[in-house]
Amino acid sequence: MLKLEHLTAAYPDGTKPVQDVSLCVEDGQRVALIGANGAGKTSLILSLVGVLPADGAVTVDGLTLCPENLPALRRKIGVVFQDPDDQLFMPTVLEDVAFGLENQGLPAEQARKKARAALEALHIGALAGRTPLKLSGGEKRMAALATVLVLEPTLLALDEPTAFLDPRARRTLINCLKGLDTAMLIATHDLPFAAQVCPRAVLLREGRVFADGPCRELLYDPALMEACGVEAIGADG
Amino acid sequence: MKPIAEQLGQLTRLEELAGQNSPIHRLHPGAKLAATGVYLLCVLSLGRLQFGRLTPYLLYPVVVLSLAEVPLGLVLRRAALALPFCAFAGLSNLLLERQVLLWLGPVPVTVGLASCGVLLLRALLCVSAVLALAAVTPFGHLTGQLRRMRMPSFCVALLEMLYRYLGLLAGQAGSMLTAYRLRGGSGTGLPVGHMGSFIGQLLLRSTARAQRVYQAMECRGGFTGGSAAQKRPFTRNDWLYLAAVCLPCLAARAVDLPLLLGRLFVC
Repeated sequence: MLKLEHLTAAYPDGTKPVQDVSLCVEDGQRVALIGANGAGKTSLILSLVGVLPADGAVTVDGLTLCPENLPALRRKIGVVFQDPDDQLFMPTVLEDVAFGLENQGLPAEQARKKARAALEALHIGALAGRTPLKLSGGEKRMAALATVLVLEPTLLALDEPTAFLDPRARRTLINCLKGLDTAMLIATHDLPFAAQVCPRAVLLREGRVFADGPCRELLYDPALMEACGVEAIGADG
Repeated sequence: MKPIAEQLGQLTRLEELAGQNSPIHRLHPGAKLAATGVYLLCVLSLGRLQFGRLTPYLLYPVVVLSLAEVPLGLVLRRAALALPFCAFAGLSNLLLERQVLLWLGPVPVTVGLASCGVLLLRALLCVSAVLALAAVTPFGHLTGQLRRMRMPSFCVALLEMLYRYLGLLAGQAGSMLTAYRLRGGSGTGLPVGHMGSFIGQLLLRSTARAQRVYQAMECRGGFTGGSAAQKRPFTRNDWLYLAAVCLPCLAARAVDLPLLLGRLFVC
């Protein structure tokens, strides 16, 4: 479903945050991207949708990343940014959720109806008329998720989804993600969260894939995680 | 920090108000835009000493905001922010045009004073009208309407980006000032010595932030611009509103209504 072959991304200054990454994500599979700060998690997600220029091949449902396919590919991959404030830019939550649908050419009324349904599905229908600037961290995160889920992507790419969340909001998010059957690539260094949501983990170190396997094995291996620059679950006693 | 936070709060407050559902809010954005345009033209085309003739135009923002259930004070407070700049511009009139126009009892009213007063009232009216429009029409509807009125797409996109960037800039400035104060910064404001690096950092950060917002927009199909705007024909209510605003405005422009009313009462 998602296939990366020898993906190498580079910033204009020549820095290569992602180097020769190859991996596959199957339909409905939830994969955690684990790594220390600067390991290349965010850059990998940005390079999937062409925001960060990259060499190598990105293929989603047979569609390869290239300038001609970019709009279609971005419909297939829904990116939820690390900071929800970057994602929510319209005057109200409802308009923000409807934004992507309207860009896809859906009439305004239908887009709003669908947006309302998406908000209800995430139990945040009450936020529809509110301005994103005044939401709590948890509400913003859920609203940002709704803006992407409403587009019905085949792959959901989430960047540090538990950042800024309190335990209750975090629990809500975990339940919500576990209830979805969409394939997911979740960049995080919240290992307990990754272990609860994702059966599989890909460890990144210095932009390269360092290990790939079941979460229950990788995330509890202190030596492996230490080598990756992250503390294993239970390592702090 | 307080003024910036307050300004940001008022910006979002206007956005919230624009999402209400009053009869004025439900009108076609084109009708509201055209009515505001006619109002501005009438106000701006009056002479520089016609203070009295401007007074009927005070009714428009008051009536529209009342019907739309938008607090008049909020709009007036924001409109008043423009007055110091206009007062500065009118200062030269006060100094250069000293010939006496009329006497109010023992107080002489010079041409400069009268023209300065007209300038301030005109600014207050124009800014109030634009803010009233912003408070009764979602920004996306306005820009969508501007596109349909064949305004160059580049100009509309620039308007949209400036509007969004303003919010980002204010938010970023507010957080930076809070952080500055919490680390023992001056309680009275930013010292000149720190201002250079503060403003530099602010611009860099808000630019980086704007870049990320742009990326998020791109990931959801870019900004086709105001597609949320109402793409419906004018209804009877829209035409009625347009007539109810434009006809009195044009009448007040063609005839000196205060003078006419004065004559009626005197005779």
